[in-house]
Amino acid sequence: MYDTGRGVPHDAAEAVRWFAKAADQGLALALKNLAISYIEGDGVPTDYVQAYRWLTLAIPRFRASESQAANKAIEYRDALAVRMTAAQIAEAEKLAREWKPR
Amino acid sequence: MYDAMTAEKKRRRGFGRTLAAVMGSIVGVLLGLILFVYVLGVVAFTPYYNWRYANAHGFLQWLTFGELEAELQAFSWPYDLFNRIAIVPAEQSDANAQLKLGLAAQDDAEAVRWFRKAADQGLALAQDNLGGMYANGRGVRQDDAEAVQWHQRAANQGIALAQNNLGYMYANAAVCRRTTPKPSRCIAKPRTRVLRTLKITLAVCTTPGEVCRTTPLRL
Repeated sequence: MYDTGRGVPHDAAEAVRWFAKAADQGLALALKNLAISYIEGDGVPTDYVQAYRWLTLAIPRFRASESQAANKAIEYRDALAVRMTAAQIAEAEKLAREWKPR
Repeated sequence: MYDAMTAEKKRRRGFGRTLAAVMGSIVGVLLGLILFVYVLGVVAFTPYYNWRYANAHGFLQWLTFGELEAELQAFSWPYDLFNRIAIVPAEQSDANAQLKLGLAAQDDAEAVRWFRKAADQGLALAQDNLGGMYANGRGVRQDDAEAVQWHQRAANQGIALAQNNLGYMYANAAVCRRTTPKPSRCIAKPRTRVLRTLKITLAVCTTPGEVCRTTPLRL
């Protein structure tokens, strides 16, 4: 499966740019992917507050057919929650409330 | 005086007879023949004349035999005789219908054919689906570069799903830097402990320094 075809260069910054564009439109998958970029520090500096914010926004937006991804998002958010302070979580939730899809 | 006027009238009235006399003469027969050959030529050579070609290359251009052959090969019934193109059923010419046909197709290769038809007409969702087929090697040879191109085209049209998929392509491309004499599996470790506990990113190298794909961390 992996041994055919041409590859593309890994470009985390480009990935984040596109995830952010898609997330602006309120796409759950993109919101979750953007959060993962923030968790991994992949293309952006690691920022759990931002990651928590995007996961919080993503979770209610998943469709019924995307339950697998939704479960992953919940799993990641719970994993983040135990590593964050109450103040950080409150800030992330405040940021989430402020966000509006374009 | 009276007789002269009658003769004049008679001469004027006799145009039909004059025409008959001309047609009966050698010159008249030749004129008729030229007219007949002209009409015959127009009727006979109209199929060889390509209006679209004439519009593109200037008026009164005749098809070469090669072009005629190409046109005959493109022929299929029903055919638009004036515009010289095959009439394609609406469901097969409409990009949205093609996308639906592709989504409904049982066979991956057939789905790719429909997606490509619709994608070539610039339908963003079809472009995104075609990119997905390339990315997953379904119905076509797996080709990340091709997948990125199609996702990019759809993403440029502002489709959120395509933008997400494009980001996914860039994020999940991993470079195996190790020099390996044979295909091997390398592990790209996620940097944070959170993800390390949740998931291990795997990538398979086939040639040294090759850019390869990781197992989907992102969906």
